[in-house]
Amino acid sequence: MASSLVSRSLYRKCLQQSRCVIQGRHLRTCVNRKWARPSLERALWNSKWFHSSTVVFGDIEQFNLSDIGEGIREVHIKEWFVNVGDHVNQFDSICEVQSDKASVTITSRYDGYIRRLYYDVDDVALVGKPLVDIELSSGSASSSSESVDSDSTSSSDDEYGVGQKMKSQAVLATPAVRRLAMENKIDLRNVPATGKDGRVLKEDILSFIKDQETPKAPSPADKAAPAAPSAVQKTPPQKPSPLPMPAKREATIPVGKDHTEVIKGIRKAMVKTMTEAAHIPTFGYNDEIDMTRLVELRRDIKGVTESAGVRFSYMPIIVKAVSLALTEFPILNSIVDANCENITYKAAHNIGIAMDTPEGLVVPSVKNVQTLSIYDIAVELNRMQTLGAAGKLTNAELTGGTFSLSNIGVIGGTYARPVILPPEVAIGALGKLQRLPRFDDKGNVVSKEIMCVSWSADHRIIEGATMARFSNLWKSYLENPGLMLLYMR
Amino acid sequence: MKHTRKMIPLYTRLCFRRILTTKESFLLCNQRYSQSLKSNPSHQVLVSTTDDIYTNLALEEWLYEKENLTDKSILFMWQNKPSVVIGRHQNPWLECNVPRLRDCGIDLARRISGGGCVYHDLGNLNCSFLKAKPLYNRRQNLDLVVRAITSHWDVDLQVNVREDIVLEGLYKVSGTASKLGKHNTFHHFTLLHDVNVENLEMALESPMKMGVQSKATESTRSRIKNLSECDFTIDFMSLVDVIGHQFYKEAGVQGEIEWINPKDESIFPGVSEFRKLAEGWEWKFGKTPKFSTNRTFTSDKLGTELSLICNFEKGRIHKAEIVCDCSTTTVKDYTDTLQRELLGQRLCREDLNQVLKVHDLSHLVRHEQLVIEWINQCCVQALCTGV
Repeated sequence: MASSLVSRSLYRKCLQQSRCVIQGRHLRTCVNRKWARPSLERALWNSKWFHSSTVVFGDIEQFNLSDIGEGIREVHIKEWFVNVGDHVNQFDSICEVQSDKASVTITSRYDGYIRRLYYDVDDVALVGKPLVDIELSSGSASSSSESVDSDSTSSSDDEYGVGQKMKSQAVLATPAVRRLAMENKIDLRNVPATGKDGRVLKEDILSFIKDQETPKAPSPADKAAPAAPSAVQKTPPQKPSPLPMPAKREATIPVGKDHTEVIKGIRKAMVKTMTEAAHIPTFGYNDEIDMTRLVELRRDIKGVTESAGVRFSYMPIIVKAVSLALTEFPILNSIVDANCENITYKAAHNIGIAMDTPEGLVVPSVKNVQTLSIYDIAVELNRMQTLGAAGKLTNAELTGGTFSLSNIGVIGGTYARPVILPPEVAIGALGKLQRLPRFDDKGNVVSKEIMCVSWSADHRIIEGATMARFSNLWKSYLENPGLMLLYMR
Repeated sequence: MKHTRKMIPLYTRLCFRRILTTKESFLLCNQRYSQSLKSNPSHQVLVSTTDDIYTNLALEEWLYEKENLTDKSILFMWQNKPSVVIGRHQNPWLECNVPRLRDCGIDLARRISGGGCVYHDLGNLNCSFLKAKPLYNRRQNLDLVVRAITSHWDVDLQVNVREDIVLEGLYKVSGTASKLGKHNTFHHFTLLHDVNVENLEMALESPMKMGVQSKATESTRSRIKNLSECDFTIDFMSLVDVIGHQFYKEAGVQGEIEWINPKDESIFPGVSEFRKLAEGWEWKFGKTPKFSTNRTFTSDKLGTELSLICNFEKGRIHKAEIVCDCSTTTVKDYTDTLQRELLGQRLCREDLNQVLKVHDLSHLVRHEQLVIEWINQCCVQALCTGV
């Protein structure tokens, strides 16, 4: 196979020190590339008498992380079974990776020595990118890069695998022989050489071609197969095949095609609620709130609450303001029965906050807001957000609401048209907080923090005037937080 | 009981034309598994007759490693007595209450597939689909099970984006994990039909959460509900029957559900080796990825503060740093000795008992005695092994 013109020990030393080994007919020397004078190096490189390579005995093959399937593009490296310098055989385990519940053992495709590990444990490895570098042992075939190859059950005796690369330079052969090999798409390394110094002759190529045309006998079971011996049919005489196509994966939801599925679960519940809500004659009332003083207030308070590990947004204050306003307008905190024949004025202010969770839209409610302080509300909202994100909200939290709020402004938007959740009678949607120019009392243009609110109410029960007055009261609390202090119970 | 009814082996219909004697039928029952390999090569449903978690996991691993699945698919089902199973790259101390499990006699096992931590008891059915790599498809398996159950009972089951089976859109009834090798793969999942929820919550509540840094896979907790709450006729036997037959039906083959003894070396040679490994401390705890804990304890009564930093590798204490701000030399000596002795100890009750035992402190000043006892207690609390 590849003939060596420097000794093995010298080669190893060079490799470890990342030196370039230059071989040639007349010069056997080891030049440290780092220190080589530029002119000498150029001369050496350009000279047709020499060729240099960092590998003498075998090629270094970059082993890419093969496709695991299911559209997975990256995995975590969990354990390495090899170190740099270890020898691996084909089908030995190299490492274990994990991707979202699937634990995959990656096995080597070649015989050789590990030269480089591209990742450490717990790193994220990308599919299709290099995983390890393997220096091929002499005679080890290098096959083309990743894909599910169906004839991977070829036995270990068969060193001439499918899809070989054509790197004939390491083998000694005359140009005529090389041309013949190239015309017939044969890798010179696979041809048994009978010439002097391991030279491949024309007769060798011709007899190799003749051998390829006759079918070979079935080979014994390969060592990677399970212990129970199974007769593996040897693949027919191989011709170098083109790059196999990656296996087609069945996507759960095909891109670009129609897809129908039954509506179930939370979405089904939402269908039911919204269909009921469609029977409610709703009116809308919108306004904008000057939140400038509230922004300042929150800036002061935020530090205190966050040191206690509680995230403080504007919601706790808004919710408390709603509760204070509901005290003056208890009709907005009522529920009606399906036929709108009876109205129940609820004593407890159970304010529901619409949440977008991985499972869908849920509206858990903070119970008895009228008895809670703003800090208590903040703690409760934090808790419900954590539970909602984890999908762990209980029935008690999801039912019993008397008034709802939707903070759609967190995602975006100004005015909205929220849909009432029966049996409640009103709902509010808060837009995003924006800095906008407004006129102050003196007629000057100043920048103010403005938030839009959109109320929807059941017109069978609530009059427009009631809603407007409620909104004005609530707005006054938010624009003058001191007023909240005055009326807080 | 359904499982004792005589199931006529498939091959008898194919091969034998006379009525078997009692002795012959007894012998044939024992050989049923190996015979059926030839008679029904493409699909098999196996159900374990034992409820020992280590034996069942060992058989699953045996089938994955040793069985030739090039033209065969196996559905293996089993149930276990109360036990907790963690994923291949998880940290048992963070996932469950290790000392409590020991006290209650609940087994702890580590499986070879990835994923999160699950609690098993007899109200939990495990299904494992073993197939060759080209046929690996988790979604298909879960859809098969959902179709099987919804066609027999009126339950609202569906498979969500995380590939969990959810009941009524909210409650998780199944957790899935899989393992892919060179040729063989398996995808297994649990199915909660009648699990004891209080025991589950107790077992999966870890006391060692504070101050821990770990890169091990973490479990995602979800709300659960038992299938039997929707329909009380859903139990282990009926589920095995329904899912097994659906498996055969969708494969388009005729077949019987085989009850096998996973400990039988004649059918599964070498399975006891797998079982021995599965039970060992090295596999269960030694395979934990590196993690560290950083705790600070303060005692107002004694006016001291203790800082405890431990690095754990392979389930052993790799590095320990115990620093107490009490300036007395005896206490400093004690913490230094403790630091030295803890190095290399396994994080298990037996090993730590020897190190953290109460010494004779009568020769010391009262305050120092209290401090040393307090340091001992803090270490026990931080290491959470229930010493």
